[in-house]
Amino acid sequence: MIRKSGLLFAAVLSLALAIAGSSVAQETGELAHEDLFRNKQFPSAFECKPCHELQFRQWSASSHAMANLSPFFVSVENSVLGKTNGTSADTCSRCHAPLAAVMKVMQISNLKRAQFARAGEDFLGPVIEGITCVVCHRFDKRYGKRSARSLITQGDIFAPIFGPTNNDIQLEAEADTRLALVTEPGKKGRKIHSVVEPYPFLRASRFCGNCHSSRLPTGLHNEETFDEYRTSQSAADGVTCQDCHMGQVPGENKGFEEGPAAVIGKIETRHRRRSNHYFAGPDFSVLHPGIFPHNPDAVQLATYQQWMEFDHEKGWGTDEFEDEVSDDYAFPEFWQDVDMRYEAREILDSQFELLAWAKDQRLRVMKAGYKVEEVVIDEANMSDGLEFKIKLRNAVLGHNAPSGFIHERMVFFQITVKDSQGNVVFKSGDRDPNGDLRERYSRYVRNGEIEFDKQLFNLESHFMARTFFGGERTQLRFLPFSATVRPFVRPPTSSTAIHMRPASARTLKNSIEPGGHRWAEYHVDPDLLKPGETYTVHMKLLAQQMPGFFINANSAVGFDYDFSLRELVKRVVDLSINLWETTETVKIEE
Amino acid sequence: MLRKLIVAAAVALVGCWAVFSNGPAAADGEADAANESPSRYSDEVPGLTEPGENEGDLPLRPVPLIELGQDYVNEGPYEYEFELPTGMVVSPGLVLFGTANTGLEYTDNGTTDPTTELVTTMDLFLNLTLSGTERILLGMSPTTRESGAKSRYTLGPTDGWVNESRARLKTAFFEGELSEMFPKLDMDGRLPLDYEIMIGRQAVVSQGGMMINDAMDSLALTRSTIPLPGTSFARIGGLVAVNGVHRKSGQDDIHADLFALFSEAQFHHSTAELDLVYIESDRTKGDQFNIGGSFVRQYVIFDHAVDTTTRLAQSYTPDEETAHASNGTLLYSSMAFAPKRTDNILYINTFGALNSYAPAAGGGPLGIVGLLFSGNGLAGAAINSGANDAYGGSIGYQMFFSGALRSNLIFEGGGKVDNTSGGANRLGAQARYSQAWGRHLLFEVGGFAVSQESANEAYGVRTKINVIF
Repeated sequence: MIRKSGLLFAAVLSLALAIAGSSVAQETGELAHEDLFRNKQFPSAFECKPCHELQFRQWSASSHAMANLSPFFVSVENSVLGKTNGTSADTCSRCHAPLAAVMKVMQISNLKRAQFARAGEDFLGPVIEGITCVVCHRFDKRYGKRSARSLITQGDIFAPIFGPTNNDIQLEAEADTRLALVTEPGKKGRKIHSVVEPYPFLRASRFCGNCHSSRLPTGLHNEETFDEYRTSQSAADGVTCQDCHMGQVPGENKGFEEGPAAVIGKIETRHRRRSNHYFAGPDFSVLHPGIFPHNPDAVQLATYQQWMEFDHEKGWGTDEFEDEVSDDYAFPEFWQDVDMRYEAREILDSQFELLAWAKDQRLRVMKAGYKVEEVVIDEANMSDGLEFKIKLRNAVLGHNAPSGFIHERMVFFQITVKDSQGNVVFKSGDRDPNGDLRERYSRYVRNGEIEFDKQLFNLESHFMARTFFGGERTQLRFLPFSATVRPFVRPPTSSTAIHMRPASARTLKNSIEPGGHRWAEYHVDPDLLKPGETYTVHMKLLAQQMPGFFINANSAVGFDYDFSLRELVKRVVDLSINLWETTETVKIEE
Repeated sequence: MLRKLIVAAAVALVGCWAVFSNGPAAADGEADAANESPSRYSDEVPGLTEPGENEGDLPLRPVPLIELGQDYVNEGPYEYEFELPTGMVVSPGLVLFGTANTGLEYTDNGTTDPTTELVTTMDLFLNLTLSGTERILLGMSPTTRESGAKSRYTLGPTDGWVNESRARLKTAFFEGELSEMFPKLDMDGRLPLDYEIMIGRQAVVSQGGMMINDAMDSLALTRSTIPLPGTSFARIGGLVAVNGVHRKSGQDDIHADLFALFSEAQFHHSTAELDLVYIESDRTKGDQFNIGGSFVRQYVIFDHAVDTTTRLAQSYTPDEETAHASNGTLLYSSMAFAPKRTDNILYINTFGALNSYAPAAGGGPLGIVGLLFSGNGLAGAAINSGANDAYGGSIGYQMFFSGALRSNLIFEGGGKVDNTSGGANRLGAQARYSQAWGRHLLFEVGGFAVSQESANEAYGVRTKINVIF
């Protein structure tokens, strides 16, 4: 009882601190619990959660839910904004933080955005939720390649929602008096949308093209996943984006679960096709687990800043830690109370469980895409050296691999050749001390401290920017800094339809076409080998959401969540996933 | 005197490279601790910089001069929408934008009296966005004639205002994508209907300008993301231009029609392009066929990542050679890399032209060779960019002075050996400093000195203030 009182006090205290700390807070006021998460323009996912718990839980750990919270997104967007003299404006936010764009609160630290309802004002949760429920379920038109420049219909929880079927199931639920559903304000009961408007377009691949076929205002094709899909075997076979990314098996067209779209109280609505709202993909959170996945309990307990002070890795809130901790342990002021720490730990345990599930979904979708089919040892002698190659296939028939924002997607082989004594005689795909591969943007390579990895096999793509002297130059960003000292985003002054790109820059794709394959070829010089010696060739296929040097390239504007460059890069590297691994033994002939 | 100047410039070029390549390492700043590599990523927590109106804030969106309907890349809801019977959702937004340039240009070409001119140009564009892939663009250059003559005030050898103003639409086209204009053909998005369409008057460029660099009335259709085995990306498109093109002579050939096929394929870390062009004209000017290819790839040479671009173009006339159509070959190669520990760029461009190469449309095929071969938009090039039986190149160094990349300095040396009858060999050096001022302005200042066979040396001073809005 005492512990609960303490928790309540702490929650109220955190609420007060959040309100006081918000630059936009007007005044405090007492709000009913259910009103904490209310927004009059766009309902928060927290308002959808009570009836759509499963969908909320899947979405809450997804890349869509991370889209705005991502510290990489925030830095890239603000970095480009600075470099383009403010002219990139809403370009990134339209897809990553659409409600922030609509509500005019873009490019602000997520730590500053109010997390709680304020008297007379709205809960700002929808803003930080990225691709939240209403972003997809409040379109009333069938948009295509719009780069998310589309109208999201406004209205509170009672406004119509747009679903893939129709209103029949809602009518059945409304007729069930046990559920006490209300569809208009001013009545007591469970508040829900007034109607489900039929919007079967949600199940069309073209729906996804709104963001996943995005063009920058300069005309540059920033992402072409939907374009790739449209000419693919999957499209011809009628397999949709949703089939593989919202089905029951991540990355594979193995059908959908059947189940209730909503569970109200303990009563399930009529069963139908139920989609996985995790949308499995390659990215993963580097944030504190108190911040992400989205969790209303976590939001009520502490602000993001306070969560960042909660050292879960040391075991705070576990019996093992709390039983042993000394009285003079320096806890942050907010986490002084042991009951608060236990409460936080309880929330985090749930978060860890969800993150583990999400990590598995991510691994499965990545493994579904990349298949190593063959390792061939071509030569193993003292005249030719050791020559071998690995055949990597894009097992996806619906788009290139990698796809999406391919300028940051790393999929690479890590090769280590050792002699019988365990001495390394050859490496490729290894990392510099920053965690970068030894390629042109590695600081260590650029500064001449370590050698270039000349045989690196990496599917990461780059921008190619036009230079003032006529050639093209590989770049991490699309800005042609050789051609102009003052990048300024304006519509292209010539057609981009002829060459499918503006004159200033383009994308050079290194990804594998649907169903296609590439050979990664390696050569170990005979000078490094000994005749008659037996060598082991250890091969790994690794995927990483982005390279450290991409984060570095956008670091001039700093980072949200008080990250340092080093820490952020470390977390990304730590989240690399191993897609395949094998070891071959080779004896070198005379 | 001039040769000494050129030697001095070359020494300065090499010196700058040596100084800057041994300068501060590419890093955030000081190393974090003693004996720690400057390459190591920093542990500092810099905090996020946000947009605002205070010093140090990121800039807010500059408001265009005219903006009607849906704002151009601005925050706020999308409000102006309607749906066409085809299913296309239109969100009209009109924006006026453009650039204005003015600069004092001094040119002594070594053969005629030096000129000093204050030259002004302006490019105005009206962009009507219809949807994500559809738009209409109108453009004009009110102070410039179609021939390229610019309005200017001459200070020497004579004083006076030269008015080259003309109200002519230089650009007027519509572009869009078939599947987006008629989404009801395939609302699910399962059919390969991503055909891009362009119709109207606009600048067309092929092979970096070596083959086509001209504004023309045309119709184009392009298919991209073609699933070609072994490629990461492939496209192919056709273009038909009518009402004339500018031929090699610089004249507008009003009887010429142009038919072009443009293609591109991207492989692992490389890009190949192949373009074909046929010009059909009357007998006096002659038909012409051009074929051009390019290959772009990064190589690792001496532990540096070297970006290379190679282009090869051939012109062929099935009729007798004329001043407008001729036979010839042009090879262009560009190599560039950043020396260790810098963001600077060292580039080496070379070209070789056999016989009398004629671009399919537009002149100046050597404009991509470097500063010496291209004007600054207000005055001409130090070395003419015709590609008749000649070879040469340039070597240059572009230095950046801050991580913000808002200023740079370029030194370049280069030359052209002209083997045509009466042609003059040229060897020169040029420098240019560029600086951004605020958000809308940039300033350029530079000059060149060129030694010319059978003529006096050529000198020039180039300045430009550019305003974008």
